[in-house]
Amino acid sequence: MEFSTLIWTTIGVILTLCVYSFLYKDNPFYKFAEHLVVGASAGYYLVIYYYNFIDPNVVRPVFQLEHGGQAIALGGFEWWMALIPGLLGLLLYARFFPKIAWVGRWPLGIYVGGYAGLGISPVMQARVIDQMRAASSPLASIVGPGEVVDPFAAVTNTALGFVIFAVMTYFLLAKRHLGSRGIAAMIGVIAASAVVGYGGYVVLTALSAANVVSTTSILLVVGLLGTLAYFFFSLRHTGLLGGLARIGIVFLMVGFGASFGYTVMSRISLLIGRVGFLIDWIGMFSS
Amino acid sequence: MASSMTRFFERFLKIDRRWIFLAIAIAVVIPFFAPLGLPVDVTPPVQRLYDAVDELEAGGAPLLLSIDYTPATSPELEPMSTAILRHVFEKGVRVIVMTLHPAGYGMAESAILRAAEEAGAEYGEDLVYLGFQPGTSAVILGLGVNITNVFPEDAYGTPLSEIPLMEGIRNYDDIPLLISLAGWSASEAWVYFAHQPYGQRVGGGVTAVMATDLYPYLDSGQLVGLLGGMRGAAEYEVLIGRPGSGARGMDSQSVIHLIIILLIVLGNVAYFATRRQRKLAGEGT
Amino acid sequence: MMRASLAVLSILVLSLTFGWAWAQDELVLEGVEPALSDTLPPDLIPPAPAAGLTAVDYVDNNDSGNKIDLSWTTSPDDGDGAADVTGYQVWRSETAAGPGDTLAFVAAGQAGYLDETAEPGTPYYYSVTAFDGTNHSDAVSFGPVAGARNWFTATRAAVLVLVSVFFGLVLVFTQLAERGAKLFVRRIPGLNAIEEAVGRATEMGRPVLYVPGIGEIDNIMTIASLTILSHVAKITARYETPLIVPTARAVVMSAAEEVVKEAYAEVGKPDAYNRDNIRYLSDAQFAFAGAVNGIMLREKPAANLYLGAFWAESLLLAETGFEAGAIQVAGTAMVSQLPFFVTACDYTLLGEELYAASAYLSREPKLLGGLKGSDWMKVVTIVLIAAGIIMNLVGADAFVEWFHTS
Repeated sequence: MEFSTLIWTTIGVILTLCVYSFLYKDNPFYKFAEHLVVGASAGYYLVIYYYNFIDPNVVRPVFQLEHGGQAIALGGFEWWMALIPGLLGLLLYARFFPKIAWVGRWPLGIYVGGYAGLGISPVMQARVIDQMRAASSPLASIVGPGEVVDPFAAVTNTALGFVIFAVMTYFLLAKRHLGSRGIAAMIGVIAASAVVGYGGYVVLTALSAANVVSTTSILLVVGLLGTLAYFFFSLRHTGLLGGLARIGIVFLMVGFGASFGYTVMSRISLLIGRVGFLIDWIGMFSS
Repeated sequence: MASSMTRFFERFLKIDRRWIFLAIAIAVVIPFFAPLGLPVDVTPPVQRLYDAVDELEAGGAPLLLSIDYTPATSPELEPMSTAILRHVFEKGVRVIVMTLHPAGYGMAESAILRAAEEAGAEYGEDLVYLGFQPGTSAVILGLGVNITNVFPEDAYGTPLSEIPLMEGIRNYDDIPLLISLAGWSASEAWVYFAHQPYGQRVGGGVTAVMATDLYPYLDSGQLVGLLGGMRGAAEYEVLIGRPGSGARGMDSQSVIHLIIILLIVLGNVAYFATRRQRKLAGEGT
Repeated sequence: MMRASLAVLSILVLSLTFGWAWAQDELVLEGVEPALSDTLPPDLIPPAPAAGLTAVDYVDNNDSGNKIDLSWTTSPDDGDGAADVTGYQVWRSETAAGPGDTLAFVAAGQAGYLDETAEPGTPYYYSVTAFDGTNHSDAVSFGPVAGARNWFTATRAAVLVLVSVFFGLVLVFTQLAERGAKLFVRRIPGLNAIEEAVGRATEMGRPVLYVPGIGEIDNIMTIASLTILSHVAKITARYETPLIVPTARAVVMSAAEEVVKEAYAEVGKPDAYNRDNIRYLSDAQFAFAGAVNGIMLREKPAANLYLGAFWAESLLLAETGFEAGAIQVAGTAMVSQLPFFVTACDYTLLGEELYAASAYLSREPKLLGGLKGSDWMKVVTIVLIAAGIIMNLVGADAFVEWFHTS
């Protein structure tokens, strides 16, 4: 064990404990760690951006400086292509001088416009067109290429999907707390959806030329339509559209629930990582 | 007339959250010293990513690994980079490492140094580190035209033309697989700007928080595979047969999940029970 | 394992190098004047050369300028005459002088080759020699020729069509809005919550905290957030309630400064504008979150508005704000962060509602046009998916394949 490693790790441990002291309450140790992080990260970013970006892309090309034993000799075009964006970047500082502050909008305009242009086509492809293609063949997309579906799993997943869906719909439509009649009604809805889910599964499997069809694909399409309806702003949410939007919010909430679960897992992982770090630090002394 | 049950629930709802913090802390620490060894099943998205890496040829066209995570999300993502690098070095697959995040610069460097030292991989032959360039989407699009336009030299100032591994590697055409490990939208950006315009095969490793964002890209084939959170890392460790820090955390993870489920159920029961009590009290007055 | 594969690799490289050197030697042989005698073994007589080599930039649906199409007339000795041609060697050079590097070896009878490794825009000189197993014929050359990138990729026609439809819808609705047409946008529940929150902060005499997310300025959520910020700033300016705007990106800070300053000037309170309240804290996510939490605990804003692009810091912020007892309104299109805002805030604008709110509040023709355009784009999407499912069920796969663009 090198002594310096121990020193740096120990500083890390102290700072970790300073931050966790916030769990008890706000205190000077937490504040010290907070300000240290803000300051140190600002400095770190400045250095990284300068040496990885400003230096090789602006400073060295414009002043034709050497690096790594290589002389940079740029043609006229390349030289201008390094100088002009560099100057545009400097224009951002025009806002320190009120009289010419408006000049600072030029680089902003170029930056925003350029990035929007870069993004439109790929994002349209990724988020709309390819997703539309996948949704248009839900029977194919649920069963990935080369995957064998266990019919039992398909049935239980489907039934489970419908049960969750039924419970959520019930709570949303009922909007009041459960009485005994409510509970009976809910059990009815669950049973009905399980029957519909399983029946749909059997019928679709019989109809389809594909080997196994999961009715979760129907849920997928229903959820898609409902969610799109919820985010349709041009008509009031009444009648059919209102009903669809209600179904949409059920799916949204189920999605949020899944997301929340994943996040809890994420946060716990961060804690586990830190605890592992502290335990490894204690281990340093015993080795 | 509040029953003792209701009083318990009322007190439960007002519990000082610091007790919960303490319970969680204890649940995290204990499995470190007394591992439960709960089994880890491998899910299809992880299996698919593993297969994609496993298909790469030893000494052939390289894997491009973009280590886009920061210290803040490293507990979830570092086990992934460690497992993937172990996998490729063990197979003799060559790897190009880069980062899209300034704070990923040091994370990537420490990850490859550790893995290379462990596997005896040689810099320049088995791996190369390109470093960081800002401008996410522009960087990804630029790599599709020519890597040297974006990274004229590696992270240590050596021109790419002088690095043996980079010989004959011009753009995505020469890279059979790309994996991005990120706790922010970088993995999605790789799908947008490398997969869509260039047809590049992209795999992802993300924090659990982001996993739901990326699931839609799996069914449509826009992502070849996905590791979600520490759990995804643990599954990958199982596949390469080398349990690491991902697997080490899974026991704590499971115990805490049980505690949280219990707290959620108790919290809801307490809420509904006391609400009814409050309602009755309200009607009584 | 590693060493073994390295060894295999080096053997491969070595054999390729020797093979190449051998091919070079063959070329030298070409210079030897062969004796035209039937008595000599036939393999000392080089075959008659190919003729009429042409090279043109190859154009197909996915060409990025790296393909050059070569064609030639086969050697008279290919399948006819001496009938000893075994193939053609294709060479490529960047100068007119030399044959350059070997590009490929094409079997006899073939009269063309497609070079797919050209650098777009680089002029090349190509040569072809007929080969009989021992000797090369004289070379037939052509050049210079350069590949050009295509303007249009047919496989991505769907992208062009749908982007055009979408932009068309947006432009039409924007035009309508500018001409004063009454475009209906339904009320978004919880939209008033923002105004209520600001109102409450005013009553309590405490500041309003407006966090425009940690997205860059190119993020559409950040842009929508800045529109709403303008609206909020007008209210706080009227009541002279302090408005604190912490930012995580330098460019967003300068944009926020502009927006708030303009809003204060617009309602006639330019002097109430306090530049120090628009703050840059840190680019680092959690450093930023920590610093905003600090502001919440120390400056005690009564209303916290989180509108824009948020990542993992969402819960840290909303939780601290909840603990501090502030009234909180959030809005983001980051699906993964919505659950936390839904649980920890008083009102949450879900996803696109953020954009709808910015259009609704400002009644700006461009925003309204965008909102209405994307609304009808959803209808187009639903219709296309329905059509796709039907086509898929009847087995007309071509329709769905048209959307396969990468």
